[in-house]
Amino acid sequence: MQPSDEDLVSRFQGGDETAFEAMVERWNEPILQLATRLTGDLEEAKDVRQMALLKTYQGLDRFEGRARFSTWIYRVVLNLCRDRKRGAAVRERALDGAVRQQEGDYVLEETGFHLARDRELARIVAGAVLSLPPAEREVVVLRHYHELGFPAIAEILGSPVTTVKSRMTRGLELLRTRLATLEA
Amino acid sequence: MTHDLPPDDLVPDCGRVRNELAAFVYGELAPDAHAALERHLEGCAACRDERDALEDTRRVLARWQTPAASEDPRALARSIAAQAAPAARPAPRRARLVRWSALLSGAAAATLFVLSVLSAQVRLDQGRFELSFGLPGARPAPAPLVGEGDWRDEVRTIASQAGSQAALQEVAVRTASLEQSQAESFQRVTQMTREELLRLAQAVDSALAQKQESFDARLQRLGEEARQADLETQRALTQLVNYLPVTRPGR
Repeated sequence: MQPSDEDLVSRFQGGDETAFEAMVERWNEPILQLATRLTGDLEEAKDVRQMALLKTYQGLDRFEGRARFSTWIYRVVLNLCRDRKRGAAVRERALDGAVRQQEGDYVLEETGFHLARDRELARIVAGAVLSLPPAEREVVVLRHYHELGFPAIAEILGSPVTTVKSRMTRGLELLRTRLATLEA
Repeated sequence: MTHDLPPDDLVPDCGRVRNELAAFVYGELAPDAHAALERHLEGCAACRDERDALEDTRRVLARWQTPAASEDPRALARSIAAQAAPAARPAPRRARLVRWSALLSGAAAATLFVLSVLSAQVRLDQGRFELSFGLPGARPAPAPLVGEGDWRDEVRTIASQAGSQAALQEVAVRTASLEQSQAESFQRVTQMTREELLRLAQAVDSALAQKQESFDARLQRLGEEARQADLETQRALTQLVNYLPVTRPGR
């Protein structure tokens, strides 16, 4: 059975450095995904991840468990993403990096069209999510891509559940308008 | 599960349903609230359209997949720990003894790792370490630690793992290929005190510096020889051209 986050925190506080490695193994992907979807820039997301993990390492000794560890680390990432200085719009070149490269993007001509179309669709969806107001974007990303429940999101954001729910509804409505021409 | 509709509201109105549709679509309603909302949708086309539109949006969102993390997470963790090293963690009192013994084995593993890579021979003679890399006449000189290098960062990283099984296993694999005398050195190193390990690391450092110096000198000499050979070749070619008879067509 896998140790819980709290078990790993206890082991780390007890002097076991390998516990931190296990935490990074578990949280590396979620942190990078969250930062990529909030910043729209893979390289910025990697910077955020680096800083988040460094803050985690330096802060774990003081972690008292009043909130869940997952709540704590999501908050760290969100705050780092909010602090990033970005222009009014996501840079187009950076957006390419935030969309997963499909395998075989450059192979057979007859499949190339479909792959190119899928990639373009992905870029449009990414652009639509990234164009949401920050409050709605955070809730949509945490709920849809990280599958966190509304109560957990409320705890992370320090907001009432009703507020989280309203932002999700508003975010989805905005997305529906912006993505109306795409096929589902 | 959450977001229960009021328990006495068997058929909620459209306004309340719209507020709950996101939770409904994402499966966050409690069973009775979910059932109540479903009953409303059965009889309300407008709310059904809203639900369908949210479902479509949800499906479209799945189109955006982000690149997967490509870094080895354990290596990433070690680099983070190394980066954080200047603000070193205070060792909890009760764990200090365990960490120290783990650090010793980690440092021993790291030192042996470096020595095995260098195919070095280690002799401990009357408390003094002597290292040999197979260079005739090589003698390690007692010297302070020399400057930083990539291998030293690797040693620190491995040592900071505090008894990492992976590092010890790596050393064990390499030890199996060593000669018996080096295997004996391995045994001796794992029993060393902290002070002895530090002195061994210094000796390795010094020997590496000497080896690097002689390697650099050899490279420089080879470079000079190549330039010299090139000049001589050029002179020879020039002389040859001067003595070649010139034949004109038609004569």
